Amino acid sequence: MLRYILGRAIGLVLVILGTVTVLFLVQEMIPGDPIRAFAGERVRAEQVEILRREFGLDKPLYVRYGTYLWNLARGDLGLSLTSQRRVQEDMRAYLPATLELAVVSIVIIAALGIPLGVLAAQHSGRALDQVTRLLAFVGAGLPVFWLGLMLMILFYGKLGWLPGGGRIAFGLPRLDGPTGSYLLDSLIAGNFQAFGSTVAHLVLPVVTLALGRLTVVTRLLRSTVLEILHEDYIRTARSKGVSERKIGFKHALRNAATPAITILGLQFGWILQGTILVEVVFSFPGIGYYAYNAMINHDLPVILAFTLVIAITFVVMNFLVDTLYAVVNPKLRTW
Amino acid sequence: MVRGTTVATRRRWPRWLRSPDFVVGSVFLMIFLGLAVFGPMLVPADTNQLNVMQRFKAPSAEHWFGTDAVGRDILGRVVAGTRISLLVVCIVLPIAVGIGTLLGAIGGYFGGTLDSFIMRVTDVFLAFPGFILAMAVNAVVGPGLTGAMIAIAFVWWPGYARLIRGEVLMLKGTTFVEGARALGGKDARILWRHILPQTITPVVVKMTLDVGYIILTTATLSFLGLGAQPPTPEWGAMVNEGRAFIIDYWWWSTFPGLAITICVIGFNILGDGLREVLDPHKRL
Repeated sequence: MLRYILGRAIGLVLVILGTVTVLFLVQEMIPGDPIRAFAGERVRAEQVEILRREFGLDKPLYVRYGTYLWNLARGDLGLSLTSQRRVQEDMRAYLPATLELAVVSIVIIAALGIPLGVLAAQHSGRALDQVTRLLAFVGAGLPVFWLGLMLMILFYGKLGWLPGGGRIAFGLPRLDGPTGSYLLDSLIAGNFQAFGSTVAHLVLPVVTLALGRLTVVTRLLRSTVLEILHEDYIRTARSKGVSERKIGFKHALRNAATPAITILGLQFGWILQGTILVEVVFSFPGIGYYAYNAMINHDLPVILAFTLVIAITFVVMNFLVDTLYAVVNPKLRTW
Repeated sequence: MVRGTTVATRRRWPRWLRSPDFVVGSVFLMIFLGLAVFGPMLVPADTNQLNVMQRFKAPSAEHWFGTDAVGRDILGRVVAGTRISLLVVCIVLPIAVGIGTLLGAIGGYFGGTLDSFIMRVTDVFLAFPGFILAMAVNAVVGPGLTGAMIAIAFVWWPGYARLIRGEVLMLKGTTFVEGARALGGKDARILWRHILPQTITPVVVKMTLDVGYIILTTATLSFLGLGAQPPTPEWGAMVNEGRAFIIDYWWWSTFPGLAITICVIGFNILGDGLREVLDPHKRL
């Protein structure tokens, strides 16, 4: 098992290095002169050259690549052109909101997707199964940003049940808790008004993010469980008179645990790339919203840093899933 | 195969008519292509024409989908958007399939260091969310429909490289390829004439599914202000335009978004149907 995890870890480092390289090359492909664009049209050529030297852009490609890697290794993501602050400082401020959104969504997907998947498998071919199939088609086709807007029209515009955007109601005192998660911080502070407001502000973004992936998870889990339901030991359990519910949720689900972990782990990437859209629609102040504003202002260092943060989070997440898979799966333990 | 049909009906109907997915998908495809080709004849010629007297009209018999802030008919613009989506697909898909096929076929057929290198590159691309990379490329290349197409093609080819490589690898060991080689066939000719034609089924199925996803990706980029720019009647750009007015004038963003949804679902159904019709053994 150790060898398996070590192999995965080396793969992880290679993929991150590859990602960094791709991003560096994308940066290099920019048509036009970034320094000229930064300095503006009125600055004289000599001054542009001085700036170029200051930013180290007069050096050959491999030197700049080395500098880029070195800066990243030190945790330096560069300077935001709009806020004139280090990008990593901004990221640190915005990341907790995004993580809160993503984690709550994945928990909801697991909590609903697993039982739905088992039930769909047990009712294979019947009405409930057909409904989940139909929902999976629709779920795969719904544009996340559009679904968010539709929910906003209904629950904020027409019904007025839920807030239409933001992370917490205006006017509530700022939460400066240790975790950065408003849910946890408000509970630690014993501020239930803030907690309620945070939950209310999370409902629509989370539903928007989770709905499409929930249908996919349900279908994937259904086929896994369906395969297991044909096994001999399920037939044995049934002949012993074990109830169908116990067979589904105990015997079958336990054996579907490893594929279920993989299925859920892979959703994290989708959730992460969905957060930017949801954050834009609901003005939710996470790193996606931050990156969106950077895109409007053509703030390239921020956009590339955002891409890198998402990519690394995703790859690390996959690594953790693989590791967990190895720990849970007895077949890999003998390695 | 459709469950529950008798042997008699199976004989009577040709195979493609027996897949409901394929039939529904084909009808959808014909409507989509029909709207893209003939649509502009059905709606006002200039969908960017301002008509301030008609602004913010709710859906009615005159304007089925309502009008926007400057009085443009939203139905007309949604129909015009069909052509833009089709155009993007017709440019991006051949590029992605072309690059992917070339690299995948070379890697799979010749193997060795070149193959490992190509596969490591595709690993990097497939290892993280493609949309985020497309967004970064689009932002770097510059906003606009051309930038969006470059970005999407850039992240889309590795999927095809993987698919083709797997198929080529599998077919390389078959007897008919060995036979062709024994007869003195050149590598390029064996690849082109004997191996690649065998890979068409999975590629066509993937292409069909991808049409919907490419339309969705283009729309998403445009929604973020990166792809098509106003006043281009691109669906995602239209959803974004209507966003500021969403609470008071719901129809502006709703109908273009509905068009995107229907497209993705339609091509998904068509792809599933094609899989059934072309390859009954591999039915999911």
